[in-house]
Amino acid sequence: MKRTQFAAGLLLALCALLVFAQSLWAQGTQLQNRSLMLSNALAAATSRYKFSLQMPGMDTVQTIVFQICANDPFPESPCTPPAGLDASQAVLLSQSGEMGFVMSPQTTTNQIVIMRPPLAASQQLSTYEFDGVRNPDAEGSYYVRVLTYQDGNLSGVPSYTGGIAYAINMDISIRATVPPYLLMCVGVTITGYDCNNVQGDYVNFGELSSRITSQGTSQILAASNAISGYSIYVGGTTMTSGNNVIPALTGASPVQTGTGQFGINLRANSAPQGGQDVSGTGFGLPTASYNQINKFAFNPGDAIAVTTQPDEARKYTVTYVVNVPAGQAPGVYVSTMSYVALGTF
Amino acid sequence: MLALTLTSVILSTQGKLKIKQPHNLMNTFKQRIQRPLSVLMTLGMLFAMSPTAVVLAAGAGGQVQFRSIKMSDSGVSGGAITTGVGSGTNVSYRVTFTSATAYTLKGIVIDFCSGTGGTPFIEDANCPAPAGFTVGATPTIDTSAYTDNTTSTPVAYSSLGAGWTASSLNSGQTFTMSDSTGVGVTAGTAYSFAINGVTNTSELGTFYARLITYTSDTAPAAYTHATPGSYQDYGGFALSTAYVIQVTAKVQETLTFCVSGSTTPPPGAPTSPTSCTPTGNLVVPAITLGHGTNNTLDTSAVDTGSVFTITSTNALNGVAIRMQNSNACGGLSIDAGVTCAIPAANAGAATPGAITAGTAAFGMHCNDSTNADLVLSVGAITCDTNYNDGTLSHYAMDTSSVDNVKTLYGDRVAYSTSPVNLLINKYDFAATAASITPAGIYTANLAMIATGTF
Repeated sequence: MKRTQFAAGLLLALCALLVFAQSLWAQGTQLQNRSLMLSNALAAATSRYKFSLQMPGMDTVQTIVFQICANDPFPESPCTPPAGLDASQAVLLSQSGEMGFVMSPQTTTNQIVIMRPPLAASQQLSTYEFDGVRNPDAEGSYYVRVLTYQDGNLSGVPSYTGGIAYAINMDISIRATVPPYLLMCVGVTITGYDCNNVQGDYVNFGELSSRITSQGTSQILAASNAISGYSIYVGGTTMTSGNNVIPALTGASPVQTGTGQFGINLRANSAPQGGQDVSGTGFGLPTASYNQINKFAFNPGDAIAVTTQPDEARKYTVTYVVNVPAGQAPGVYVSTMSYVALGTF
Repeated sequence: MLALTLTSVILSTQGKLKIKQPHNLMNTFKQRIQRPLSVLMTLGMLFAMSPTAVVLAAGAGGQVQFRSIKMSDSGVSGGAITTGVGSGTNVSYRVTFTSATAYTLKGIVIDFCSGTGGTPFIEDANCPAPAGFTVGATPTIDTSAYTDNTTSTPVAYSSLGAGWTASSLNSGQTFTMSDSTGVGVTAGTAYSFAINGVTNTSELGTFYARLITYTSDTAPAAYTHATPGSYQDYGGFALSTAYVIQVTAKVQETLTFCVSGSTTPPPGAPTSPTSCTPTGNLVVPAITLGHGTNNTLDTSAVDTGSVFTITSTNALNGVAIRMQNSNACGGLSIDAGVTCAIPAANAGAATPGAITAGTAAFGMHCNDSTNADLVLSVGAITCDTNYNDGTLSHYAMDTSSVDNVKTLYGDRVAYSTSPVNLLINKYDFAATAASITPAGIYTANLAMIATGTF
């Protein structure tokens, strides 16, 4: 009988204590202007957590607890730790307002605890920024229970409490494909910078003479969005007529009448007068051997123009020069020039 | 003798005495003489023993009927609630009674007794003060006519007139009011007055009050529990303090925020995503900007695509939606943000501008919120002017402000200043390529982060 009475009394006392405790929780004054700003809201990402809050009174504050739960923000109810959340490695990066806090060893996977010597609160807006918090594994809403204590062992009733809700969500993924292109066209003339305006594919030097340098021009238009630019190579042979050959200038050399020479360059020349420098917006330039005024060369397979980055339309004018000696065998001398552009994407 | 006499005494419910003639067959002279003597002696003894005997000597009237004291607050004083209803402070006691007799009323006493050891009986010395109770040193009163509208049929009470002076005795336990002129009351007429500013007892449960009226305006000042003096009418009351019903309602902080690539339900989803749940209704927010057969970006057009956010929160100070670009260069990149060959629109300025086809740029236009639900949607989420200047074709990707899309916590793109529910914001992303935009697959991951301030 006595045991029954004792048990009943104990149960009654526990119930009363529970009710009393509940009422005490409810009496805790609510923290104001509470918010949590994340630097990364992706599931399972490591993020910075920046809390803002304002003490509603001047009670002593020694400890602040940020408890993160999956179920609700109410301090009096059991907390379900969010799956995947890990705040155990949190580092206090910065603080403002109520200051002087350091990380407490009472920090756990779902609870960040900071402490300082007991001081009265000043009711100013405070921020606490933590790094190294791993977000929960799943998208959705989560809750922070913020509690302040007057002591360092988290005992008793918190002075101030407040809840925060925050969301973990997907990023927006944006993708765009820019297709590669390499534009090149060749003609005797190209009006403007449009390959639709190409005209001619035949350069006629007329009758070669040992007293004057024969010359002609053609044009190349090139553009590309190749990230490393493009190179234009020249192919073909020097001018020949059957077994008779006009020698090519293997090194950049000036013209010399009366000497068998065949060469090209991509500049505006004065001797002989003719040719044009490269034009158009961009960066492409003739290579060294073909970029010297009044000097010409021809080595099949040479790169005659290069750019190392994407380039808008550039127009190159190729000047061809031919000299023959007096004893040059008669005939129709012909050469077929081919140009190849190679983009490096 | 006393025992014999007591059998003939009937104690009234009001504590007064009525005497019945004892039935006796003895008929001797002595007996005839002795019986009245003994009755008189007994009566005298009873008068001497009982305080109520004074009633017969001092009370000329009767018990007031239909008496009540209505309290404006039944909470005990000195509890957790210190102001307002439930505090037991600044309480009004509305006293109503129907006069038993007709006379000129010049004084009233209401004496309050503890429920522990006290009684409502007039002239009973047992009247300890209710703990914590006081009517105040100089109580305020309201003696004007009163109509009780809390009953099914309104009940009108007559005024006691002006000119009354209220006071108290016994450290506020006993209320008194007097008027040298007085007011003529008539039998059967209901009167009322209120005592304001009373502090209830701190004792939980029943306590008592005694009402005594006087035809003298000086008698109330001489009142004591046991010797109330010569009074007219009287009546007892039982009152009670009670636990105050404390209603506590908790509203949980909420923030529901999600991003969807479309408001058109994905295949298999039952309904359009108008809320963040079920998540199966949401469309992964992956946009490919481009056009043509291969859905590519070039110089001929400005290509656009949209995503949506759905937001609900009860944050008192509203919600801010911030955008953060994963590319440190702020635009679209083929090398994880090291370089952005498709740069931020309008040179990354904080103001939106047009994107011209062929001039590589990447930007966003934010649209103010629309309601996801015709009934349940509440509030508005407004876009920052950085991302909405009123022109739909103007885009921005702010990389120059103090807080911009490249900073740690991103750039605020939309906000509310109060709680919102089920609001959809649409974000239009746009890009175009230039002729020298290096070929490749350009990407950016944009984080939309909602922060509620509770």
